[in-house]
Amino acid sequence: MYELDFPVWIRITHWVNLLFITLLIRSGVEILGTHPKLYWRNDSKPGTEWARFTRKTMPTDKLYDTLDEEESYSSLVSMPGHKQLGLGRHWHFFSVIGWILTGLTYVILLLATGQWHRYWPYSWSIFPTAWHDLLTYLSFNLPPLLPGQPYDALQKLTYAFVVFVLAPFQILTGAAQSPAIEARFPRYVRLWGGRQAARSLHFFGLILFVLFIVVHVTLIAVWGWGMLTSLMIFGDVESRQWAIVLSLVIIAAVVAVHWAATKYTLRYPRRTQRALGAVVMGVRKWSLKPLVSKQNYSAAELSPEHRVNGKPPISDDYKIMAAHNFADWRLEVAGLVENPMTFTLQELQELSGTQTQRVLHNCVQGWSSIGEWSGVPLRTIVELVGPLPEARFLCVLSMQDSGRDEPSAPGQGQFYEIIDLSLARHPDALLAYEMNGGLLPIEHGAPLRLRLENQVGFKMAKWIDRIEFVSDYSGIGEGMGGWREDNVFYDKNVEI
Amino acid sequence: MGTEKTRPESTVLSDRQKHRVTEQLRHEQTTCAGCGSGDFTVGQALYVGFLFLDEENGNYMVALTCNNPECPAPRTGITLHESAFLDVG
Ligand SMILES: [Zn+2]
Repeated sequence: MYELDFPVWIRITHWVNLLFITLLIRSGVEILGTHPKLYWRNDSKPGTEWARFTRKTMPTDKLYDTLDEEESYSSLVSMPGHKQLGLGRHWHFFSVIGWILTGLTYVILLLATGQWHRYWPYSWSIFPTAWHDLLTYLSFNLPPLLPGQPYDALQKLTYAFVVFVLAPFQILTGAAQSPAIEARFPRYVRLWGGRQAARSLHFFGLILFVLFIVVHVTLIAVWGWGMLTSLMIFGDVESRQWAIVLSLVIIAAVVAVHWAATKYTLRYPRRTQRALGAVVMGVRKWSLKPLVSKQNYSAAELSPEHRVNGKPPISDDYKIMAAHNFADWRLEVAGLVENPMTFTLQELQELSGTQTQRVLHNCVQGWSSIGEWSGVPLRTIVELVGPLPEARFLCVLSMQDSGRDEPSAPGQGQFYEIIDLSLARHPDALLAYEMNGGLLPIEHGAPLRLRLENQVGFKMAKWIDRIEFVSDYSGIGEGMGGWREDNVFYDKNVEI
Repeated sequence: MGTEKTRPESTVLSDRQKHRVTEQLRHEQTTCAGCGSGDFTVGQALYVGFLFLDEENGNYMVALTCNNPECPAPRTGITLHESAFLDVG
């Protein structure tokens, strides 16, 4: 028979898990706050949310975008708090890597050492026993432990559920929100009922984790804080007094890490962005970046109202150009290329190989919509201008001056985004001038916008008028790879 | 291609509406920024009141094309409130 005790690896992974899961919860709330509404349907149509965590109301007579809907939450509940989606995302993705590694270590050792028996039900009778245990708890009594085991039936089932159902469920519903995974495996997203259903389910998982932690900690206190923390710190019940002290020290240390990490993040956002981004982007580079879109949504699935982010340029030049259907607009393609070129809108429309794609659009804030986009594949333009060998990135420049045009986004200057040349050669990278069969509407980026189907929305620059091939982007803006990267600390490659 | 698509934000004006725009131009003595001419062809009207934060509700950008064949920048426009040129009803 196996001895179901508390070997050192169970004790270590338990406390490491405490750190990562709490980081995940707080950074998850930060991400939720950036679009504090939950939906079931892919179109995220305003008014169809089943839950909202905001009191803001939006105007009906003026264009608003989802940046206007963003909420600022306190650092007590969100990481780092204060409307810092970019930094919250870094923490969430950094923590999830640590959490998954901890979980894998735990599960592998569980299987290798026979400790998995602590979760194995053995008999159907465990369910009625667990129900009986629940009634016993509810009558403020303690149920008996299972013979030869560290838990009662209800605890055993609950722990097994959290480890083998809830944790994988959070990983899977999280992955279902990655545009790269959605693009490559559209059926996987359907499996969850769509992008917004996955987001809603991910939220339920968050609630269950919080409930679990509250009940778990309460029951530890009820059963005997000293005895159980002694098991989880020393592996036996001999040092209960020390365990009470040490458990409080460990919890205080976790709180201290949260506090220090939050303070540091808010004080040194750029350093945080660089440090966490290096870890997260390293993982994405081999896992998500190579994924190419295989989406083909049906025309019936197109969202009647595609949501919007970003506001059009308010300059008279732009409005006059738009009133003349962009006859005076030009796209300049230059930089490290053999043949710098300039295109009119009509010339772009007349290039052969027009491409149309019906795809799910993912905003970094969490909403989605389905749209049909037509235009010229970016790789066609790349081939026409011929990048020089040293060209590695494309700087896509917009006519939008974010400081002037977008009051809800902090920062100044012309909007731009840097994309890797390899991404520009993806078959689904598109310069779109049409949407849903008509001319591209102004709020969606007329006359020309980018489509990158394995990235989140902000990379797909709108109101484009210039593309520059460069070898390095450290001298452009703040050198972080785009306007949002520079100003709100987003990650440069956004496959999730 | 060749046939001119109308933008989703644009309205094609009737002759009567175009005439009212021309009257406005004459009234305000609007001249072309490119060449100084006062002779324009009136095009479509783009509704800017909703999409642009700096515009009042009801504002349009009306496309104007300068009729001077020598003009270096013939495509221009004027912002007008709907009450100035769109018929009621
Ligand atoms: Zn003129």
